[in-house]
Amino acid sequence: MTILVCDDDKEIVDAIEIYLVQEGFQVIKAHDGEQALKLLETKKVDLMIIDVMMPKLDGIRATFQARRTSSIPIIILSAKTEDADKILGLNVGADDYMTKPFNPLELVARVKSQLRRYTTLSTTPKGGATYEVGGLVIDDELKKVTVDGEEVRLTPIEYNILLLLMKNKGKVFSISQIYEEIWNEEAIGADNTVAVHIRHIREKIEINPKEPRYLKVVWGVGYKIEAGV
Amino acid sequence: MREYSIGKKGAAAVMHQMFLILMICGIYGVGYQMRLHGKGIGLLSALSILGLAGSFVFLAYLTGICGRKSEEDPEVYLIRMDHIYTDVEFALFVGFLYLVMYLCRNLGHMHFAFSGLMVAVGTIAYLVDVVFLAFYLSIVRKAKKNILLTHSFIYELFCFLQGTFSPGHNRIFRMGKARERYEIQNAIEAISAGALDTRLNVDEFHGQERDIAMAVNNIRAGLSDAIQDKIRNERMKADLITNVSHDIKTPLTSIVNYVGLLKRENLENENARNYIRILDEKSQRLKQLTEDLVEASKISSGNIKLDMQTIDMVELLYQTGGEFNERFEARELTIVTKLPHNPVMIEADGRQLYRAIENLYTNAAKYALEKTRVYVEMEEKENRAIFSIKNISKNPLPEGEEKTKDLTERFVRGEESRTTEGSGLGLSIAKNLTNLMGGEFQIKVDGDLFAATISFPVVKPQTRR
Repeated sequence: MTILVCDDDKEIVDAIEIYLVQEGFQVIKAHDGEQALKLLETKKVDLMIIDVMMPKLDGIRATFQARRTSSIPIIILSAKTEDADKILGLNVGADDYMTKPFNPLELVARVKSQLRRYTTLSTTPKGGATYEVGGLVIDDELKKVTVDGEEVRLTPIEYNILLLLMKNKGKVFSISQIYEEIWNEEAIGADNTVAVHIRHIREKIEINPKEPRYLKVVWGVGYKIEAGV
Repeated sequence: MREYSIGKKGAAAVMHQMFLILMICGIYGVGYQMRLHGKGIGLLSALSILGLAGSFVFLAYLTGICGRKSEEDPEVYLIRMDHIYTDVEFALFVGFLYLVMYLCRNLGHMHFAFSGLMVAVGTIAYLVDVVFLAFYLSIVRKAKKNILLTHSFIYELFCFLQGTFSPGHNRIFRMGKARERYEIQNAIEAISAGALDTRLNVDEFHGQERDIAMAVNNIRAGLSDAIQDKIRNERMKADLITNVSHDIKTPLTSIVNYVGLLKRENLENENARNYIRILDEKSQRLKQLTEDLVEASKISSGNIKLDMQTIDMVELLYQTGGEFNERFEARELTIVTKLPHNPVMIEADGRQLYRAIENLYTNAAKYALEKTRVYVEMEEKENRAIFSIKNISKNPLPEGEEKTKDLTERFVRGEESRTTEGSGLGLSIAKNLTNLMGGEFQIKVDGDLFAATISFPVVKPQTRR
């Protein structure tokens, strides 16, 4: 697996290289957008990590141009943390967006997740009782939950909560609704139980539980599984 | 400096009146004597001519100085009666003359002794002259002020009709000065309510109102400039902080990454491992600081988008509790939660309100004394949802209202040392976010007891649409 890493700060590229090589990836390095596009044309690349603010051609334009010819996963790295910057990055065709300074282990996890989805998941056969959102798949016959092809172990209650939310993608469930569905009891004065279970599920299925991709908190309303990831 | 004092004006008026009475009496005297015996006609004629000349001289002087205060001051000052419309004044004067003539119509048939005639004629001449003088000088003042014709009922009526019937104007039934005042008052109210684009068209105003209108325009311009400056400065500050922190983040990324690599190097040396642990902690803290700094500056300059929704504060507090229970357990803190059983709906941006409350929970998790209880309560009182969190502080807190207020300022923490975790921005962020969404934020310190309160108006289900 070859990963193209592009950032005008050489030390950052080198550090990312070390982490990726330790995980068994091959790394090609670039330091501006033009260089990255050239390397994409000439070499076989499986995934690209690209910075936004760079000389010559910035990461947003480079991503936009790369998307004309290539469908490989692209992860944008940027010091810009505004929502608008993230939305722009994802809209021009990036698959993921990470803000600097990032946790290198999280970056590696995201690289693996993107690659698994790109290479293996697109061919996963779908059974009758299978629900999926992005890389999150729940197979109700085997009672198995996988994230990007890797199995995740949930407790029965966690599993039932996740199943409820996955069956109703995009729908927001309040704490008492979840309680009544899962415990089959009327919720008389809720407590933190459901919220704690939800956090545990998030910690198991999300790469960064503080910025969940699948299980979102709608503050003051409830919880939902994002419909379109 | 030569002053035209009231005394001077009064003296001139009295002199004018005396000469006038002299003239009138002289004329009547001549007539009386001619009908009888014709004695002393020459003397009486001379006296009346002197009276005519004298009254003219003083009238001319009065005409010159009326409305003025001194030789140096060119300003024309109006008195109260000058606010009467010119045409109304004129009509009143004519009416007065008619009344006098009506009262005097039988005077000619009466038989007076000479002295009696002089007294009667003199008195009537005096009274008529007083009124005439008042009317005449008022006209003169208005002429000097250039409002003789415009300050008249007919002119105002004309303007009003023109305003009412010409398209584009929608004047209320108000006229003249009153309308101008009304417009000025409207403008002042609009400006004080914050509509800084309110402008008065000075050409539409007259006299004193024109000066006021100009002054109002000047005040508006000054205020508008000051506020623009303030907004620009806040924005610049926020931009500066954002840009600087972008620049800090790039080298910081390298530091975080290489410290991470060092950690994986399996170093034998105990000291080296300890140093790396410190580097790791401090670089993480620096990362947190830069992120908080950008957030705090964005929030305090109001530079964030709010997505206001009707949300359930009780639900939000249970959700928050679920996020934090283990962090509290780690420090052996017990959360005692007292929340209503029914939903309490408020208008807020759920994500931002969570960030505000999250900061308060984080605060309690960090600074509460181990093995104590943290009280999280919410009640509905007087149509407000009041959330409070109370804890016993590990370190002594600053006492006194001023210092408590300081806690919500940027970079102020309950403890003076800066070595522990936390950026000192948490309470500032929580307060500014709450205020931005229209809520109230309060902090109370009583000895070691720290209490923070956030309250929002309750949205009743029936008023939700």
